[in-house]
Amino acid sequence: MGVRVIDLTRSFRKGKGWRPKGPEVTALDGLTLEIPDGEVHGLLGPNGAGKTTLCKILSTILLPSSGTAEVLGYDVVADAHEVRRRIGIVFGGEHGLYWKLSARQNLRYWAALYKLTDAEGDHRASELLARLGLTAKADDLVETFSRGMKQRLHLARGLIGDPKLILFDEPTIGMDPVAAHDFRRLIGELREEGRTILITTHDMDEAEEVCDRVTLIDKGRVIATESPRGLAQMSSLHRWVEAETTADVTHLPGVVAVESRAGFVRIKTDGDASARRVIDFLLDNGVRSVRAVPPTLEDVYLDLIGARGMEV
Amino acid sequence: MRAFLAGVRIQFWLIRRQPDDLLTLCTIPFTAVIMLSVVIHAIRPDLVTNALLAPALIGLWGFSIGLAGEVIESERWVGTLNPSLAAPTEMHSVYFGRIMAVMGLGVIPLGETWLLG
Ligand SMILES: Nc1ncnc2c1ncn2[C@@H]1O[C@H](COP(=O)(O)OP(=O)(O)O)[C@@H](O)[C@H]1O
Ligand SMILES: [Mg+2]
Repeated sequence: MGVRVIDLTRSFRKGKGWRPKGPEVTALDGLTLEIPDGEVHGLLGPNGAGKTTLCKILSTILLPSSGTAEVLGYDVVADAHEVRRRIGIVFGGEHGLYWKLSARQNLRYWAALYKLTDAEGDHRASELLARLGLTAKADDLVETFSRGMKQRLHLARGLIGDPKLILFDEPTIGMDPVAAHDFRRLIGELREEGRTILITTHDMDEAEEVCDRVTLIDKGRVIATESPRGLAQMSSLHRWVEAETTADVTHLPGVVAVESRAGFVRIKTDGDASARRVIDFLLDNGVRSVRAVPPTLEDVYLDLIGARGMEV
Repeated sequence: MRAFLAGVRIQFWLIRRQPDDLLTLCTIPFTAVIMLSVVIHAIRPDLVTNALLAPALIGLWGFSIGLAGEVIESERWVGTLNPSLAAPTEMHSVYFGRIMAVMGLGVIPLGETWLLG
Protein backbone atom coordinates (compact mmCIF):
# COMPACT_ATOMS: atom_id res chain seq x y z
CA MET A 1 0.00 0.00 0.00
CA GLY A 2 1.44 3.34 -1.02
CA VAL A 3 -0.34 5.44 1.56
CA ARG A 4 -2.65 4.43 4.37
CA VAL A 5 -4.11 7.19 6.48
CA ILE A 6 -6.52 6.28 9.28
CA ASP A 7 -8.58 8.80 11.20
CA LEU A 8 -5.89 11.43 10.91
CA THR A 9 -6.39 14.67 12.80
CA ARG A 10 -4.21 17.73 12.97
CA SER A 11 -5.05 21.01 14.62
CA PHE A 12 -3.19 24.26 14.89
CA ARG A 13 -3.44 27.01 17.42
CA LYS A 14 -3.64 30.43 15.86
CA GLY A 15 -1.39 33.15 17.16
CA LYS A 16 2.26 33.97 17.52
CA GLY A 17 5.08 32.76 19.64
CA TRP A 18 6.21 29.51 21.17
CA ARG A 19 2.84 28.59 22.68
CA PRO A 20 0.12 30.45 20.78
CA LYS A 21 -2.97 31.16 22.83
CA GLY A 22 -5.45 31.75 20.01
CA PRO A 23 -8.39 29.62 18.93
CA GLU A 24 -7.70 26.10 17.67
CA VAL A 25 -8.09 25.43 13.96
CA THR A 26 -8.69 21.90 12.78
CA ALA A 27 -6.84 21.40 9.49
CA LEU A 28 -7.47 17.65 9.25
CA ASP A 29 -10.51 16.16 10.91
CA GLY A 30 -10.55 12.37 11.04
CA LEU A 31 -9.25 11.86 7.52
CA THR A 32 -9.09 8.31 6.17
CA LEU A 33 -7.51 7.53 2.83
CA GLU A 34 -5.83 4.60 1.08
CA ILE A 35 -3.68 4.83 -2.02
CA PRO A 36 -2.46 1.54 -3.51
CA ASP A 37 1.06 1.20 -4.90
CA GLY A 38 1.55 2.65 -8.34
CA GLU A 39 -1.54 4.84 -8.32
CA VAL A 40 -1.66 8.48 -9.36
CA HIS A 41 -3.98 10.00 -6.81
CA GLY A 42 -5.38 13.51 -6.94
CA LEU A 43 -6.27 15.54 -3.87
CA LEU A 44 -8.80 18.22 -4.64
CA GLY A 45 -10.35 20.78 -2.36
CA PRO A 46 -10.75 24.49 -1.77
CA ASN A 47 -8.11 26.64 -0.11
CA GLY A 48 -7.73 25.71 3.54
CA ALA A 49 -9.15 22.22 3.04
CA GLY A 50 -6.03 20.68 4.57
CA LYS A 51 -4.25 19.41 1.45
CA THR A 52 -0.87 20.91 2.28
CA THR A 53 -1.19 19.79 5.89
CA LEU A 54 -1.74 16.21 4.72
CA CYS A 55 1.28 16.39 2.40
CA LYS A 56 3.41 17.70 5.23
CA ILE A 57 2.34 14.94 7.58
CA LEU A 58 3.01 12.28 4.94
CA SER A 59 6.46 13.74 4.32
CA THR A 60 7.23 13.74 8.10
CA ILE A 61 7.56 17.53 8.24
CA LEU A 62 4.55 17.85 10.55
CA LEU A 63 3.39 15.49 13.27
CA PRO A 64 -0.24 14.40 13.41
CA SER A 65 -2.32 15.38 16.43
CA SER A 66 -3.97 11.96 16.42
CA GLY A 67 -4.59 9.02 14.11
CA THR A 68 -2.04 7.14 12.04
CA ALA A 69 -0.45 7.61 8.66
CA GLU A 70 1.66 4.99 6.90
CA VAL A 71 3.73 5.54 3.80
CA LEU A 72 4.89 2.44 1.90
CA GLY A 73 4.18 0.42 5.03
CA TYR A 74 6.16 2.66 7.40
CA ASP A 75 4.60 4.82 10.08
CA VAL A 76 5.34 8.50 9.53
CA VAL A 77 6.05 9.05 13.22
CA ALA A 78 7.72 5.86 14.39
CA ASP A 79 9.64 5.06 11.18
CA ALA A 80 10.10 8.60 9.90
CA HIS A 81 13.60 7.79 8.71
CA GLU A 82 12.46 4.88 6.55
CA VAL A 83 9.73 7.07 5.09
CA ARG A 84 12.15 9.88 4.24
CA ARG A 85 14.45 7.56 2.31
CA ARG A 86 11.62 6.53 0.01
CA ILE A 87 9.72 9.70 -0.75
CA GLY A 88 10.27 12.80 -2.82
CA ILE A 89 8.41 16.06 -2.36
CA VAL A 90 7.71 18.88 -4.76
CA PHE A 91 5.94 21.73 -3.03
CA GLY A 92 4.90 24.25 -5.66
CA GLY A 93 6.09 27.76 -6.24
CA GLU A 94 9.56 29.08 -6.77
CA HIS A 95 10.79 28.57 -3.24
CA GLY A 96 13.00 25.79 -2.06
CA LEU A 97 16.05 26.36 -4.22
CA TYR A 98 19.29 28.22 -3.55
CA TRP A 99 19.13 31.08 -6.03
CA LYS A 100 22.78 31.91 -5.60
CA LEU A 101 23.86 28.46 -6.75
CA SER A 102 23.72 26.86 -10.15
CA ALA A 103 21.12 24.24 -11.02
CA ARG A 104 23.77 21.54 -10.88
CA GLN A 105 25.08 22.70 -7.50
CA ASN A 106 21.56 22.66 -6.10
CA LEU A 107 21.06 19.09 -7.26
CA ARG A 108 24.46 17.95 -6.02
CA TYR A 109 23.67 19.36 -2.59
CA TRP A 110 20.34 17.55 -2.42
CA ALA A 111 21.93 14.37 -3.75
CA ALA A 112 24.27 14.45 -0.77
CA LEU A 113 21.30 14.86 1.56
CA TYR A 114 19.79 11.78 -0.05
CA LYS A 115 23.00 9.91 0.80
CA LEU A 116 24.32 9.58 -2.72
CA THR A 117 28.08 9.59 -3.10
CA ASP A 118 29.62 12.49 -5.05
CA ALA A 119 29.99 10.39 -8.18
CA GLU A 120 26.44 9.07 -7.98
CA GLY A 121 25.19 12.57 -7.21
CA ASP A 122 26.93 14.08 -10.24
CA HIS A 123 25.62 11.34 -12.45
CA ARG A 124 22.06 11.61 -11.17
CA ALA A 125 22.11 15.41 -11.39
CA SER A 126 23.15 15.30 -15.06
CA GLU A 127 20.57 12.65 -15.80
CA LEU A 128 17.75 14.68 -14.23
CA LEU A 129 18.87 17.94 -15.81
CA ALA A 130 18.73 16.22 -19.19
CA ARG A 131 15.37 14.65 -18.45
CA LEU A 132 13.87 18.03 -17.57
CA GLY A 133 15.51 19.88 -20.45
CA LEU A 134 17.84 21.97 -18.31
CA THR A 135 21.18 20.73 -19.58
CA ALA A 136 21.95 23.94 -21.41
CA LYS A 137 21.39 25.98 -18.26
CA ALA A 138 22.89 23.48 -15.84
CA ASP A 139 25.71 25.74 -14.72
CA ASP A 140 23.80 29.03 -14.66
CA LEU A 141 22.69 30.56 -11.40
CA VAL A 142 19.11 29.73 -10.46
CA GLU A 143 18.34 33.43 -9.96
CA THR A 144 18.65 33.88 -13.73
CA PHE A 145 16.02 31.18 -14.39
CA SER A 146 12.49 31.82 -15.56
CA ARG A 147 9.70 30.64 -13.35
CA GLY A 148 9.08 27.57 -15.47
CA MET A 149 12.72 26.60 -15.32
CA LYS A 150 12.74 26.92 -11.55
CA GLN A 151 9.71 24.68 -11.42
CA ARG A 152 11.45 22.10 -13.55
CA LEU A 153 14.46 22.24 -11.28
CA HIS A 154 12.08 21.64 -8.39
CA LEU A 155 10.84 18.52 -10.08
CA ALA A 156 14.41 17.37 -10.58
CA ARG A 157 15.11 18.02 -6.91
CA GLY A 158 12.08 15.98 -5.91
CA LEU A 159 13.29 13.05 -8.00
CA ILE A 160 16.90 13.06 -6.83
CA GLY A 161 16.43 10.30 -4.25
CA ASP A 162 14.74 7.94 -6.73
CA PRO A 163 11.54 8.03 -4.64
CA LYS A 164 8.90 5.29 -4.60
CA LEU A 165 6.27 7.84 -3.57
CA ILE A 166 6.19 11.42 -4.76
CA LEU A 167 4.11 14.14 -3.13
CA PHE A 168 3.27 17.05 -5.40
CA ASP A 169 1.64 20.06 -3.73
CA GLU A 170 0.21 22.32 -6.42
CA PRO A 171 3.07 21.64 -8.80
CA THR A 172 1.58 23.38 -11.81
CA ILE A 173 0.55 26.59 -10.10
CA GLY A 174 1.51 29.41 -12.44
CA MET A 175 2.89 27.11 -15.14
CA ASP A 176 2.34 28.09 -18.75
CA PRO A 177 0.32 25.65 -20.91
CA VAL A 178 3.35 24.11 -22.57
CA ALA A 179 5.06 23.50 -19.25
CA ALA A 180 1.85 22.10 -17.81
CA HIS A 181 1.56 19.75 -20.76
CA ASP A 182 5.14 18.56 -20.27
CA PHE A 183 4.37 18.09 -16.61
CA ARG A 184 1.45 15.80 -17.40
CA ARG A 185 3.69 13.75 -19.64
CA LEU A 186 6.26 13.51 -16.86
CA ILE A 187 3.60 12.24 -14.46
CA GLY A 188 2.71 9.60 -17.05
CA GLU A 189 6.35 8.53 -17.27
CA LEU A 190 6.71 8.38 -13.50
CA ARG A 191 3.64 6.18 -13.31
CA GLU A 192 5.12 3.87 -15.96
CA GLU A 193 8.17 3.56 -13.72
CA GLY A 194 5.86 2.22 -11.03
CA ARG A 195 6.01 5.14 -8.64
CA THR A 196 3.07 6.11 -6.47
CA ILE A 197 2.02 9.72 -6.82
CA LEU A 198 -0.10 12.00 -4.67
CA ILE A 199 -0.84 15.32 -6.31
CA THR A 200 -2.84 18.27 -5.03
CA THR A 201 -4.13 20.63 -7.64
CA HIS A 202 -6.76 23.17 -8.46
CA ASP A 203 -6.67 22.28 -12.12
CA MET A 204 -9.60 19.96 -12.75
CA ASP A 205 -8.60 19.17 -16.32
CA GLU A 206 -5.22 18.13 -15.09
CA ALA A 207 -6.68 15.94 -12.36
CA GLU A 208 -9.07 14.36 -14.83
CA GLU A 209 -6.27 13.64 -17.26
CA VAL A 210 -3.51 12.31 -15.01
CA CYS A 211 -5.21 10.82 -11.97
CA ASP A 212 -6.37 7.23 -11.57
CA ARG A 213 -8.50 8.29 -8.64
CA VAL A 214 -9.23 11.56 -6.93
CA THR A 215 -10.26 12.43 -3.40
CA LEU A 216 -12.32 15.51 -2.73
CA ILE A 217 -11.63 16.98 0.67
CA ASP A 218 -13.19 19.90 2.44
CA LYS A 219 -12.58 21.19 5.96
CA GLY A 220 -10.18 18.33 6.63
CA ARG A 221 -12.71 15.62 5.81
CA VAL A 222 -13.00 13.31 2.81
CA ILE A 223 -16.10 13.97 0.75
CA ALA A 224 -15.53 11.30 -1.88
CA THR A 225 -12.82 9.08 -3.34
CA GLU A 226 -13.42 7.81 -6.86
CA SER A 227 -12.01 7.70 -10.35
CA PRO A 228 -12.70 11.04 -12.06
CA ARG A 229 -15.22 9.33 -14.34
CA GLY A 230 -16.80 7.33 -11.55
CA LEU A 231 -17.22 10.45 -9.50
CA ALA A 232 -19.12 12.08 -12.30
CA GLN A 233 -21.40 9.07 -12.67
CA MET A 234 -21.86 8.51 -8.98
CA SER A 235 -23.02 11.98 -8.20
CA SER A 236 -26.67 12.63 -8.98
CA LEU A 237 -25.53 15.30 -11.27
CA HIS A 238 -26.96 17.26 -14.04
CA ARG A 239 -26.36 16.12 -17.57
CA TRP A 240 -25.04 18.62 -20.00
CA VAL A 241 -26.12 19.07 -23.58
CA GLU A 242 -23.83 20.82 -25.99
CA ALA A 243 -25.35 22.12 -29.21
CA GLU A 244 -24.68 24.43 -32.10
CA THR A 245 -27.95 26.27 -32.37
CA THR A 246 -29.72 29.56 -32.01
CA ALA A 247 -32.93 28.05 -30.61
CA ASP A 248 -34.02 29.20 -27.17
CA VAL A 249 -34.37 26.35 -24.69
CA THR A 250 -34.56 28.24 -21.41
CA HIS A 251 -38.33 27.68 -21.13
CA LEU A 252 -38.08 23.87 -21.27
CA PRO A 253 -38.71 21.98 -18.02
CA GLY A 254 -35.60 20.57 -16.39
CA VAL A 255 -33.23 23.15 -17.82
CA VAL A 256 -31.10 24.50 -14.99
CA ALA A 257 -28.77 26.85 -16.81
CA VAL A 258 -27.76 27.86 -20.31
CA GLU A 259 -24.38 29.24 -21.26
CA SER A 260 -24.02 30.41 -24.81
CA ARG A 261 -20.91 31.47 -26.62
CA ALA A 262 -20.59 32.29 -30.33
CA GLY A 263 -23.55 30.25 -31.54
CA PHE A 264 -22.58 27.36 -29.31
CA VAL A 265 -24.63 26.58 -26.19
CA ARG A 266 -24.00 24.45 -23.12
CA ILE A 267 -27.26 23.49 -21.46
CA LYS A 268 -27.31 22.18 -17.92
CA THR A 269 -30.25 19.88 -17.21
CA ASP A 270 -31.36 18.17 -14.02
CA GLY A 271 -31.16 14.61 -15.31
CA ASP A 272 -31.15 12.16 -18.19
CA ALA A 273 -34.85 12.58 -18.98
CA SER A 274 -34.59 16.34 -19.20
CA ALA A 275 -31.47 16.05 -21.32
CA ARG A 276 -33.35 13.80 -23.74
CA ARG A 277 -36.24 16.30 -23.86
CA VAL A 278 -33.82 19.12 -24.68
CA ILE A 279 -32.18 17.08 -27.42
CA ASP A 280 -35.57 16.17 -28.94
CA PHE A 281 -36.60 19.80 -28.87
CA LEU A 282 -33.39 20.90 -30.53
CA LEU A 283 -33.66 18.24 -33.23
CA ASP A 284 -37.14 19.54 -34.07
CA ASN A 285 -36.02 23.16 -34.07
CA GLY A 286 -33.02 23.29 -36.30
CA VAL A 287 -29.67 22.37 -34.84
CA ARG A 288 -26.35 21.88 -36.58
CA SER A 289 -24.84 19.55 -34.01
CA VAL A 290 -25.84 18.25 -30.61
CA ARG A 291 -24.44 15.91 -28.04
CA ALA A 292 -24.98 14.96 -24.43
CA VAL A 293 -21.90 15.14 -22.26
CA PRO A 294 -21.28 13.75 -18.80
CA PRO A 295 -20.41 16.29 -16.15
CA THR A 296 -16.72 17.15 -15.95
CA LEU A 297 -14.73 16.82 -12.79
CA GLU A 298 -15.07 20.55 -12.41
CA ASP A 299 -18.89 20.30 -12.43
CA VAL A 300 -18.73 17.59 -9.80
CA TYR A 301 -16.33 19.62 -7.72
CA LEU A 302 -18.49 22.71 -7.85
CA ASP A 303 -21.55 20.64 -7.07
CA LEU A 304 -20.05 18.84 -4.07
CA ILE A 305 -17.92 21.59 -2.61
CA GLY A 306 -20.15 24.44 -3.71
CA ALA A 307 -19.02 27.76 -4.97
CA ARG A 308 -17.18 28.61 -1.79
CA GLY A 309 -13.82 29.11 -3.40
CA MET A 310 -13.47 32.64 -2.12
CA GLU A 311 -14.08 31.80 1.50
CA VAL A 312 -11.08 31.09 3.65
CA MET B 1 30.39 12.65 7.71
CA ARG B 2 28.96 12.99 4.24
CA ALA B 3 26.30 15.33 5.59
CA PHE B 4 28.96 17.39 7.32
CA LEU B 5 30.96 17.70 4.11
CA ALA B 6 27.86 18.57 2.13
CA GLY B 7 27.34 21.41 4.60
CA VAL B 8 30.92 22.61 4.28
CA ARG B 9 30.71 22.49 0.51
CA ILE B 10 27.46 24.37 0.12
CA GLN B 11 28.64 27.03 2.55
CA PHE B 12 31.72 27.63 0.41
CA TRP B 13 29.57 27.78 -2.71
CA LEU B 14 27.25 30.27 -1.04
CA ILE B 15 30.02 32.46 0.35
CA ARG B 16 31.61 32.67 -3.07
CA ARG B 17 28.37 34.09 -4.49
CA GLN B 18 27.55 36.43 -1.64
CA PRO B 19 30.79 37.39 0.04
CA ASP B 20 29.11 39.91 2.36
CA ASP B 21 29.57 37.39 5.16
CA LEU B 22 33.26 37.96 4.75
CA LEU B 23 33.00 41.68 5.42
CA THR B 24 34.06 41.19 9.04
CA LEU B 25 37.32 39.77 7.79
CA CYS B 26 38.15 43.12 6.23
CA THR B 27 37.55 45.07 9.41
CA ILE B 28 39.78 42.95 11.60
CA PRO B 29 43.18 44.43 10.67
CA PHE B 30 41.82 47.91 11.31
CA THR B 31 40.43 46.98 14.70
CA ALA B 32 43.78 45.46 15.48
CA VAL B 33 45.56 48.66 14.50
CA ILE B 34 43.31 50.68 16.81
CA MET B 35 43.85 48.28 19.68
CA LEU B 36 47.57 48.30 19.09
CA SER B 37 47.83 52.06 19.04
CA VAL B 38 45.92 52.25 22.33
CA VAL B 39 48.24 49.71 23.90
CA ILE B 40 51.35 51.39 22.53
CA HIS B 41 50.15 54.80 23.62
CA ALA B 42 49.67 53.49 27.13
CA ILE B 43 53.13 51.93 26.94
CA ARG B 44 51.86 48.54 27.99
CA PRO B 45 53.85 46.08 25.84
CA ASP B 46 52.54 43.23 27.98
CA LEU B 47 49.09 43.77 26.39
CA VAL B 48 50.21 43.66 22.77
CA THR B 49 49.30 39.98 22.44
CA ASN B 50 45.82 40.68 23.77
CA ALA B 51 45.39 43.61 21.42
CA LEU B 52 46.20 41.38 18.49
CA LEU B 53 44.24 38.35 19.61
CA ALA B 54 41.08 40.17 20.61
CA PRO B 55 40.02 41.45 17.14
CA ALA B 56 40.67 38.03 15.68
CA LEU B 57 38.53 36.33 18.31
CA ILE B 58 35.83 38.96 17.92
CA GLY B 59 35.83 38.33 14.19
CA LEU B 60 35.72 34.59 14.58
CA TRP B 61 33.04 34.71 17.19
CA GLY B 62 30.80 37.28 15.52
CA PHE B 63 31.09 35.52 12.24
CA SER B 64 30.11 32.08 13.49
CA ILE B 65 27.41 33.24 15.89
CA GLY B 66 25.93 35.31 13.09
CA LEU B 67 25.71 32.38 10.75
CA ALA B 68 24.64 29.87 13.36
CA GLY B 69 21.78 32.11 14.33
CA GLU B 70 20.87 32.87 10.79
CA VAL B 71 21.00 29.50 9.12
CA ILE B 72 17.55 28.22 10.15
CA GLU B 73 15.93 31.58 9.50
CA SER B 74 17.49 31.85 6.06
CA GLU B 75 16.67 28.25 5.16
CA ARG B 76 13.09 29.03 6.03
CA TRP B 77 13.15 32.18 4.00
CA VAL B 78 14.60 30.43 0.98
CA GLY B 79 12.01 27.67 1.43
CA THR B 80 14.53 24.87 1.73
CA LEU B 81 13.74 24.11 5.36
CA ASN B 82 10.72 21.92 4.59
CA PRO B 83 12.40 19.78 1.95
CA SER B 84 15.48 19.43 4.16
CA LEU B 85 13.32 18.11 6.96
CA ALA B 86 11.86 15.54 4.60
CA ALA B 87 15.32 14.40 3.46
CA PRO B 88 16.81 11.28 5.03
CA THR B 89 19.84 13.11 6.46
CA GLU B 90 19.88 14.59 9.93
CA MET B 91 20.17 18.27 9.20
CA HIS B 92 22.21 19.16 12.28
CA SER B 93 25.29 17.54 10.75
CA VAL B 94 24.78 19.61 7.60
CA TYR B 95 24.31 22.85 9.52
CA PHE B 96 27.27 21.94 11.75
CA GLY B 97 29.31 21.57 8.56
CA ARG B 98 28.16 24.97 7.37
CA ILE B 99 29.08 26.60 10.66
CA MET B 100 32.45 24.87 10.77
CA ALA B 101 33.15 26.08 7.25
CA VAL B 102 32.65 29.61 8.47
CA MET B 103 34.71 28.95 11.58
CA GLY B 104 37.46 27.68 9.33
CA LEU B 105 37.34 30.94 7.42
CA GLY B 106 37.28 32.72 10.76
CA VAL B 107 40.79 31.45 11.34
CA ILE B 108 41.90 33.81 8.57
CA PRO B 109 41.66 36.84 10.89
CA LEU B 110 44.05 35.08 13.25
CA GLY B 111 46.50 34.89 10.39
CA GLU B 112 45.79 38.46 9.41
CA THR B 113 46.61 39.84 12.82
CA TRP B 114 49.59 37.58 13.13
CA LEU B 115 50.93 39.08 9.91
CA LEU B 116 50.32 42.54 11.32
CA GLY B 117 52.14 41.64 14.49
N1 LIG C 1 1.33 26.51 10.52
C1 LIG C 1 0.02 26.77 10.67
N2 LIG C 1 -0.42 27.46 11.74
C2 LIG C 1 -1.74 27.70 11.91
N3 LIG C 1 -2.71 27.28 11.09
C3 LIG C 1 -2.34 26.60 9.99
C4 LIG C 1 -0.95 26.30 9.72
N4 LIG C 1 -0.89 25.59 8.56
C5 LIG C 1 -2.16 25.46 8.13
N5 LIG C 1 -3.04 26.06 8.98
C6 LIG C 1 -4.51 26.08 8.84
O1 LIG C 1 -4.95 24.79 8.52
C7 LIG C 1 -5.96 24.82 7.54
C8 LIG C 1 -5.58 23.97 6.35
O2 LIG C 1 -4.49 24.56 5.66
P1 LIG C 1 -3.76 23.89 4.40
O3 LIG C 1 -3.45 22.49 4.73
O4 LIG C 1 -2.63 24.78 4.03
O5 LIG C 1 -4.90 23.96 3.28
P2 LIG C 1 -4.80 23.78 1.69
O6 LIG C 1 -3.40 23.39 1.35
O7 LIG C 1 -5.80 22.74 1.37
O8 LIG C 1 -5.17 25.10 1.10
C9 LIG C 1 -6.18 26.29 7.19
O9 LIG C 1 -7.31 26.74 7.89
C10 LIG C 1 -4.94 26.97 7.68
O10 LIG C 1 -5.23 28.27 8.12
MG1 LIG D 1 -2.02 24.25 0.09
